[in-house]
Amino acid sequence: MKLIDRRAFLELGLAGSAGLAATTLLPRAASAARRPNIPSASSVGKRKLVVLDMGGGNDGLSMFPPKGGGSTADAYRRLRSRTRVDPDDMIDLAGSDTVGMHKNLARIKAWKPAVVMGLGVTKPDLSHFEMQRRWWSGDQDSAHLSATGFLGRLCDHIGDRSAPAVGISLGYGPSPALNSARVATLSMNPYSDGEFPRFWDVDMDDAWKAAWKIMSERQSNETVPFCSARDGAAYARRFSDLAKGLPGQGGGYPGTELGVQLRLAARMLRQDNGIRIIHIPVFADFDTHDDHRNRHAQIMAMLDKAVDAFLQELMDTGHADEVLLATISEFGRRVPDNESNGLDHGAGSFALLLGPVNQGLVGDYPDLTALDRDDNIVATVHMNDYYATLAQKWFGVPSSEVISGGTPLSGIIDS
Amino acid sequence: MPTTTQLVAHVLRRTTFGPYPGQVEAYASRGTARTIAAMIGRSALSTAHPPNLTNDDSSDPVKWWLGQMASHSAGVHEKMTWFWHGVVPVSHSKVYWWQVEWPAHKLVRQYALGSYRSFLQKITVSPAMLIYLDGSWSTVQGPNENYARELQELFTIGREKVTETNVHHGALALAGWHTDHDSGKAVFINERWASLGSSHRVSFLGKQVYRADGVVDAVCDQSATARFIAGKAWYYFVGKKPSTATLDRLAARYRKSGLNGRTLVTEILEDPKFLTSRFTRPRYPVEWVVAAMAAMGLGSRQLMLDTLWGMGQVPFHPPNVAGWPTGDGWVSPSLALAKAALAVGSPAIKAVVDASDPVAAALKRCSMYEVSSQTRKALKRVGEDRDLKSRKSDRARILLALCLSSPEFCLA
Repeated sequence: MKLIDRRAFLELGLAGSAGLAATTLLPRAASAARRPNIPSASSVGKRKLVVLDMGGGNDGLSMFPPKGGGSTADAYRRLRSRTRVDPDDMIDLAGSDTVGMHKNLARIKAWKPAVVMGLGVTKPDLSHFEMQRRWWSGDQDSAHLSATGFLGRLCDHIGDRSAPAVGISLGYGPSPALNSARVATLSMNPYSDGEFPRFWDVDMDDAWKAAWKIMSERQSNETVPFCSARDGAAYARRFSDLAKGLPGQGGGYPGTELGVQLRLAARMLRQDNGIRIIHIPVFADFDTHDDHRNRHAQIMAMLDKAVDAFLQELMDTGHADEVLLATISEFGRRVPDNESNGLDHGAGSFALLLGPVNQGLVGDYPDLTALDRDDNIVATVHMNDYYATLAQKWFGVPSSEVISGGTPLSGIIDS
Repeated sequence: MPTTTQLVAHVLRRTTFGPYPGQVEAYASRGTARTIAAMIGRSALSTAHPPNLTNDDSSDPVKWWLGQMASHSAGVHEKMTWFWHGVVPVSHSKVYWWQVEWPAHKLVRQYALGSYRSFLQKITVSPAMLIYLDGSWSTVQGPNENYARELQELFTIGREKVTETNVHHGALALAGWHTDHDSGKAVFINERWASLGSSHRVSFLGKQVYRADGVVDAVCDQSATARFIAGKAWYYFVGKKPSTATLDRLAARYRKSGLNGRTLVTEILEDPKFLTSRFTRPRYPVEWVVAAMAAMGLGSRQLMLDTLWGMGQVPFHPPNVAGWPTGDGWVSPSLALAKAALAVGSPAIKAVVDASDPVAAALKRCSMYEVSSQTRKALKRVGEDRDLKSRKSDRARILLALCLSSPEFCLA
């Protein structure tokens, strides 16, 4: 699987001078030296969530490789002779003797993350599309087919029905993860300003908008595609006012697509406008069937810089206590490497939680001497538990309202 | 009962990237059956003047393809070329080598209405696909499973029929190929890496298969393949899922024809359900942009490309190996904004400016012959606007922009 590389698009100038390979626009002193004081979480009603969706299958073992002399570390070095992260490329993590962290995540480390280890499902499937569907809908074992997404259901519980949008996906089309039943969720092209296109002449623009309003009124006798089309037009019009009122852009972001997405997310989160959940598809090629070591390391560096700038802006503007950043990925990679110096589709991965969380390692490190029949890790923490944590511990929504059968993980978020 | 004009507009929306202004009127007198036959019968557009392939940073091939779609001579062949790109995609974002992507694209065109089996045989070991889905340098000792999985899950039998054993065995039989970085040719290394050898067949989908062509034959022999592809093509042209009975019949005919594309399309377009399924799916961004630019009388391929990037659908740049999603997501709020951004650039079309009934003229310009009362009400609001009464050009621009933004134009 390959996600779009919008290099050509970026070069057209629609995105300013940003390019995927661009360096940090406003380099700061090495972030790793900073020791930010993470505030404790705000009251539940003010809390917001950002989900980084690492589609393609992000390898957790390369983010947090095992180290030391244990049997799992031995197995890691043996099974990944071509793709492993060597000790020189690791940094310490929360004083652990057995778990390291990729050195390209040094900035993120300074923000004191909680790391959920061995996160997966009980009965993994190795298809991107099946596993993405499960992660988006919150359907761990393909048993609870639902028209809504997990994040959409959360929006339904915590959101204001009159808000132009409670959940937003900053990508190039709607995300099934945000399918909701009660409140509005939508997607926004991260390079657009979200404002309704206009005619510059006032009389023309008035006529255009008045007519557009009529055209976007849903008719009871029309078919579903017609209603969807009219709704799309109506929500675009309503959202335009919200978009117009967003605060200005923060600085310090890298010129990467993720930098642009997170910069926009911060603008949306810095005011109370009804938006509670932002879904960010990460357009990097996590599907490292070949040349895994180099490619994954580059993606980690990209992630590190953008997330660091985002957390810094929230800190600087006094919103760090309101925002939890959580990652998901449909699966990790196969444990043994293939002959292309790459890694095929795997099962469980690792997740990062950043914001007002307690730093540390959550769950058990997967046992690399006891792989499943497809040579993948056996998950030690399940999707339902992870999602239950986001719902119950962060938003105060009883997990049974939004997910079937999960138990919130304790210790990460002080309620 | 819909009029013949309404039905011909529907046929042209589904079988071409138009209709372009005047086309519906030209075909209305022929009736639907002859219009369908004409569009199926139109010959494939020429590839004699290929785009510049020497600069991998350039978008020339994308613009070239948009030009083909916008050609007034394009018919079902061009429409099926786009269909197959979504079913069996190759992405420039990953391959980043137009010189090998172009021959792969020509394969899509060569077999757009031909044998799916022959197409898969060739594309499987094409340099572009070997790079895109990591078949290149996959070996028996350390097989790369990517292509073996996606071939079965997305190109042929569908996910329900995929087993991990068949993925692994398929990958073994597919191993041994690589793309030579100097010549851009696919090479099979029959020694060290590939060598299951002719006596070392693998068990795959209930057969003993040998090498890539054996894998492709085995998946194409599965009845699930005809069914899987027939279902996708039905949705593309009809905009709804087929009933079980319809899919049974369609898959059987497609299979009997040797997975022949022309047979498949003809069966679908001649089904009575095709004509009654109007406005059942969104006009996908490429369809919308090409048709909208034709209505606006604009030809800038750069503007088409910019708009498509913003809408999230650019030829040669599928989001992933599953191609683009289908369904109502393409009439979402963000797409409404992207479409409106192009539409507000509508020029004043003379035929609309000078018309005694500018609303009717704008609708005709956009080939809109089946219009809801609510959309008419919105257009009338502009047609009767007092401030615009003496500003016929400005009024014409707004009317055209509204038509292009309407549900009727945003659905196919």
